[in-house]
Amino acid sequence: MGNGDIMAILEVKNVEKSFPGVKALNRVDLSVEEGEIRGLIGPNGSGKTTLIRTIMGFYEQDNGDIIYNGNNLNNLKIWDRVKIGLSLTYQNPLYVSGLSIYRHIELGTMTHRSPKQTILEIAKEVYLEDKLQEDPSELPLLSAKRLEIAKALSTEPKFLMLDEIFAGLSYEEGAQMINILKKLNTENQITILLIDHNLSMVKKMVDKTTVIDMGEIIAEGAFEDIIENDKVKKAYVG
Amino acid sequence: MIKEGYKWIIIFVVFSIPTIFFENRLYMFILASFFAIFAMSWSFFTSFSGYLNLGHVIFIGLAGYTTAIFNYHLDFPIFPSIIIGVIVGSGVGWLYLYPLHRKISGLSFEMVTFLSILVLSDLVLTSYLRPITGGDLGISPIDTLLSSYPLAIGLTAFMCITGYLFVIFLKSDYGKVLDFARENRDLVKTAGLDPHKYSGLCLLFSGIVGAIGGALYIHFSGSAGVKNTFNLGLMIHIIILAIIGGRFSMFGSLIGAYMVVFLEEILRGFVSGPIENIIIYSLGFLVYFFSPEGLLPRIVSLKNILPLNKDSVADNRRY
Repeated sequence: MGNGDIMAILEVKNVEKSFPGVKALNRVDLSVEEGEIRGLIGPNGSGKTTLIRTIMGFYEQDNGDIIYNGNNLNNLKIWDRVKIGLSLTYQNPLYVSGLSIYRHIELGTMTHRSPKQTILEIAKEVYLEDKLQEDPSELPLLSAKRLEIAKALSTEPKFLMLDEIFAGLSYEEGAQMINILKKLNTENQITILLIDHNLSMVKKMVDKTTVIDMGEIIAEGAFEDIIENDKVKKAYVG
Repeated sequence: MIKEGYKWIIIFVVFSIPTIFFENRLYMFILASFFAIFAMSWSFFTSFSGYLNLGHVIFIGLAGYTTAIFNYHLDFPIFPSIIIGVIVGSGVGWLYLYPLHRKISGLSFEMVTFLSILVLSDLVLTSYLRPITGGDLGISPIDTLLSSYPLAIGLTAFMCITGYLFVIFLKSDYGKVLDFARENRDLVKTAGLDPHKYSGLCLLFSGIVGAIGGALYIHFSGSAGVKNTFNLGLMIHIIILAIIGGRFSMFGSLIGAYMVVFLEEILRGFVSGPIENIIIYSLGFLVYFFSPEGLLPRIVSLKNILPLNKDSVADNRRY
């Protein structure tokens, strides 16, 4: 359980992950409460992406446990984690050229056999309803990022991890993205774990922020507080 | 689905009619049907799952040797032998290749399947297995499917039913998932789907059809040996047929098989075996170099039926 009566939807407990010559995650503890928007920030190579890819099941942790909604994820494959409500968007939009946006959204609905109407509704949530028959390779970056969100939504997630969703977007585009994400959080009750280098966008989005550096959590709290933290300043400035 | 059915009925009629008028070439039509079945079943898995399977002849060979063993050594009648051959060929072949494709992909999968053929081709020649496999001489004589009109029509029908079922599969949700899986498996995984479940099913169907073709082919050949089973040359031949016709469509693979089998027959009257091989391999090389999608899409595009530039139109996939 998290603070008070709010339940932690995700708990990362003492997770460690090493790659040859590199300790990417070192005794990482993280608890995200249901309905929260959590920021996960840190310098390049700090372990942010490794952590969410470990939570998602792309990497198997060397030690520790990942608990989602009371279920230990340790032996679950990626697709099984998706089925119980975890989802992830990629930093570089991932799509197959030659297959329409409709087909990309449809793919995620196949596990729960959603009607065609659902695909249209998902597209509407990210303002892609007029582009359903288009090829994703022809989309501008903002629309491609929206497609990433749509793909994630198609799996009916309860916990969404966003990897650098604001990367490459202008300030105005970032503001549009924030509106979409906040709506998903409030109306669809999706808990969000946001990884980003764009701290001004993170600041506008999050309820709480966690800072990771050299594979270790070094600070956690309100964005305004942690940004003044000496360890955080040292991690970013050196 | 119904439209696709009509299309394959027309293909059946078109490919059956010549057998009536060219009865002296019945053998060629039957051979072409066998190779069309092999090319389609290879192409079905390789072209649509994203795994280059160089071990498709494992299905053909296991089914072929099994039916021959049951027919020759155990005196089983021809059709029960064929059924056992198909079950063993597709079952054992799948049990061997399915875990491999879950664990490895790309060049590793290609090399392992390639080496598997080499191992099997020598294994059946070893002295330990010679009493069963017949060594260099193979298993002969076995009950033979004679070159006959019913065989030609039956095989053409099987070829068309297979083509139809493959296309229906590729147009189903399974095929839709494979469209993504062969390009990017992570994308499928994060959509909540196990990509190997879909490619594994594709491999199973590919293997069943390959095994049926293999078991029948052995009885048409009259013997089971390395040359017509676990043979690298046979594997390459199957690949070339699919490449020439167009491996991204079932009909393309079928057309490729007919074209090459009849071209070989024509060449046989003029050139020696090695020259014939050089011509066929060179043809495969040229087609792959200038038109990697094969001749069928190229020919059809000339009539503006199928645009070659697929990227301009999303979901423009033909099977």
